[in-house]
Amino acid sequence: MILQVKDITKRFGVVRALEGVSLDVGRGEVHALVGENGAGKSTLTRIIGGAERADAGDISFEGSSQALSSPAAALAAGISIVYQHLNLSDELTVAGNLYLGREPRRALRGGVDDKAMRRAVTAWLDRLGAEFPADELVGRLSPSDRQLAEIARGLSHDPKLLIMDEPTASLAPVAAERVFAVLRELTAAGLAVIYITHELAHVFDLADRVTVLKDGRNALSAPIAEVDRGGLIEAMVGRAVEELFPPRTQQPDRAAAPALELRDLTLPGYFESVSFSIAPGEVVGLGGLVGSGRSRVARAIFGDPPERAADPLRGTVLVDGESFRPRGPRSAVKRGIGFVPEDRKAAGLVLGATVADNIALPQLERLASFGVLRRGAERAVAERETEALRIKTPGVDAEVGNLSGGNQQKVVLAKWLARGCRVLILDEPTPGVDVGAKAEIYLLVRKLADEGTAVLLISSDLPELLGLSDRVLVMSRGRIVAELEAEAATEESVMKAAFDGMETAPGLESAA
Amino acid sequence: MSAIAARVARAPRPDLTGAAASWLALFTLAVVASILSSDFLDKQNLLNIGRQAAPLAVVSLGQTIVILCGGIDVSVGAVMSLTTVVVSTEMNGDPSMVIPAVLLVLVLGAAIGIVNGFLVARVGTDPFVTTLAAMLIISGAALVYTQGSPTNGLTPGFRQISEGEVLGIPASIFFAAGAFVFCWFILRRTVWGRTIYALGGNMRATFLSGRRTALVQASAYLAASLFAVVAGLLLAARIGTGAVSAGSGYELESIAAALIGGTAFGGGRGRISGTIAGVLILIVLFNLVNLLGLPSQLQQIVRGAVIVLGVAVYSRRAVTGS
Ligand SMILES: Nc1ncnc2c1ncn2[C@@H]1O[C@H](COP(=O)(O)OP(=O)(O)OP(=O)(O)O)[C@@H](O)[C@H]1O
Ligand SMILES: [Mg+2]
Repeated sequence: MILQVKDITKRFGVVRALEGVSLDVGRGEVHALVGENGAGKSTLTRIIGGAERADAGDISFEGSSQALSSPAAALAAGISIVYQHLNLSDELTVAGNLYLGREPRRALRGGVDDKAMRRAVTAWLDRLGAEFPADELVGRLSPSDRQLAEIARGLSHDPKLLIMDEPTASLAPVAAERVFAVLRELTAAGLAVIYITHELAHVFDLADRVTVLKDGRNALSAPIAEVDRGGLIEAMVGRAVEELFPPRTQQPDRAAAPALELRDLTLPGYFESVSFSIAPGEVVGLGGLVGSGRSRVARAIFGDPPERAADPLRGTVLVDGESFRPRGPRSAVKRGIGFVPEDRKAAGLVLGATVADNIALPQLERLASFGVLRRGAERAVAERETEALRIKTPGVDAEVGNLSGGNQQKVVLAKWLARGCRVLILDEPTPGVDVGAKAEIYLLVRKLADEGTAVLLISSDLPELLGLSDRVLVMSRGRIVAELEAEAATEESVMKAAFDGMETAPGLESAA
Repeated sequence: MSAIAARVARAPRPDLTGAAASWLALFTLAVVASILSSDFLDKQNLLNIGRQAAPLAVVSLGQTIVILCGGIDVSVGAVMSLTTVVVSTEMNGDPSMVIPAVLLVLVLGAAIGIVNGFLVARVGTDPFVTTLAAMLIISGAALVYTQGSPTNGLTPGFRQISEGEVLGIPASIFFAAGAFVFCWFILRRTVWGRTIYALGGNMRATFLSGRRTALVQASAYLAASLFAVVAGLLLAARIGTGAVSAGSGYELESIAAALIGGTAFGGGRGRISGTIAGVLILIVLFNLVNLLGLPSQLQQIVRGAVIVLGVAVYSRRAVTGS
């Protein structure tokens, strides 16, 4: 065993994040760590990585039980962590960021020269199939590419134990495949990996052993051959989740005036002649490769970035049959459009504010009379939504930044569910959300649709796209290249359309 | 999460720790001061502290608002100076001119705040540079306006807003208390205040939630300027004259008070109760220098040291995340 964790306990105030958790990882082993949102997975990794101290329990790494008292000490001992919440600095280049993580080592082992560093970074990026250069500014990368850069940073430390906390949550599927291939090569050479994920398919793809945490305790630990998907879910959620996707009970009324209609919407450089309509009660999926322009379409409908003479948006948007000029998020929200952006930390949440404050943000006016907030109403809304979405938090006054990743994502959804909208745009709504919660979110989206909301769903998670949508549009290089009815759409047909589009469409070079 | 668990586990807002810590520091300082100097707890001395603290408290409240939304305003000291000279010149010893003079400085302050706010929020200039330029322009204008000589037009009636006493307590303390309550209310109880905190925490997420980020951000500078005008009025009434340098130093002290009080540089976190503690810490320190008969130049050094301390406390919080 390279790592032995015994009876770790950790509390945050009254929250019991971990209660006597144990975990053993052997050399060359991929150990999957799964569990619901808030089960304590990230807390455990932070403790192993020296970023947080356990209240009780022992950790021994390579037989030495000397406490790993700081991230630098853990790194020097050979433990490298790819954190769940992206940690790269926007203002530095990719290489600069990787170099930064190296500094504690430089002090211990003497100088590292710049050129060698850059070569190493480039080598890792190449190996991971990254399509951006090492001197690109991190702030300009897509969430997927940032994640890849983060993984490259983790690997560039040449660790003995690599801990990956939901490394693929915002990674494009193609990129995820490359990462897996690299991991397989490295574990064959003895690297041990703790792999945290909510994607059970990845667990079965990659892991040798799996440990389930539930409410901060060990719920199951077994070789992968001895468990199946159903058993894993039951251990995680405490009940069987039969159907991830709710049945489509109602047919959307496509004869009615569309709730949202786009006519030849064009944003030069990003997307061209995008036309589609969504009936009230319909869920339309927008599939395609990362960078095909999907997020840009969503943001344009929502008025983000706001209209400027420099980038003229052409074409027409109609909401409930009436022409609507997306001037900015404020006018979009007023018109009944809700938007869950793809990067929750940067765009979805005010992490330092409370759960209640975040949920209330899009509808402060409604919760106020003459500009004065009605605190009772505000609390009531927040409490109702945290309960409805089963957001795991010590209370609506807790700071959102202290919630586990999946619960943070639920708060972003709660903002718009609380407000209620005619058109809801979801850009990657479930990265980092556990199976049980995913099923709940899907149920909520379906219920919303049944109540007449039009939903535009952007997702790189193909099962999600197909399972939830009534209709799937495929975008490629800034154009819509295919439209598939739910019954006819398969993962293959969507991917094929996306790749065909790459070859044939005269479209735009790289739309992000 | 069940309602019961939620109730049991209601954690205090983390930013309280900042404000509470500053009150604790103030209390400790007061104990030390009373040991070092027997005059410290003297009633007259305490009232004096209050009188001296009032203008700084008012201007620091406005400064806190700007810092909360992620900015900074270094022009507030100059606005205070301008206020003292304009109000005393326009008043010119005539009691009937008191109200017009006060209205005039409020309008001037509003105009300055609007320009600052417009530049920062709409044009996107850097808050420090913008308000630094404003400070230079305002100071220059005040010099031109007075030709450098102090102006002595304040009426005795006007001076009562600082020197008058109600129930034995200086009137300026009531003004400062009123400003505090007003500020607390708009920050904690209104849509506007909630938006200030939100946009200091994450401007983009706030914008994408349909808030009027630019307008609210601009209005923070307007608020800071208006608070500075009120502070300038209290200051003029206290010192009894208008002087082009009357308010200099207040920009740094107000920033220090906010930071010592636990407001995060960069925005999103902080409480104005902490700012008041920060103000009192500064004033008690200055007072102590006087009481102990130390050279008054030492005040400058104390000021500088306390500002560094405030920033150091804040950066520690930022690194440890607590
Ligand atoms: N710094 C903190 N302060 C207070 N509570 C915390 C803190 N960090 C974690 N928690 C709480 O500890 C519990 C475990 O959180 P953790 O982030 O480890 O969950 P997780 O298993 O990683 O979940 P996810 O899958 O959503 O990422 C949660 O209830 C969380 O709210
Ligand atoms: Mg986590």
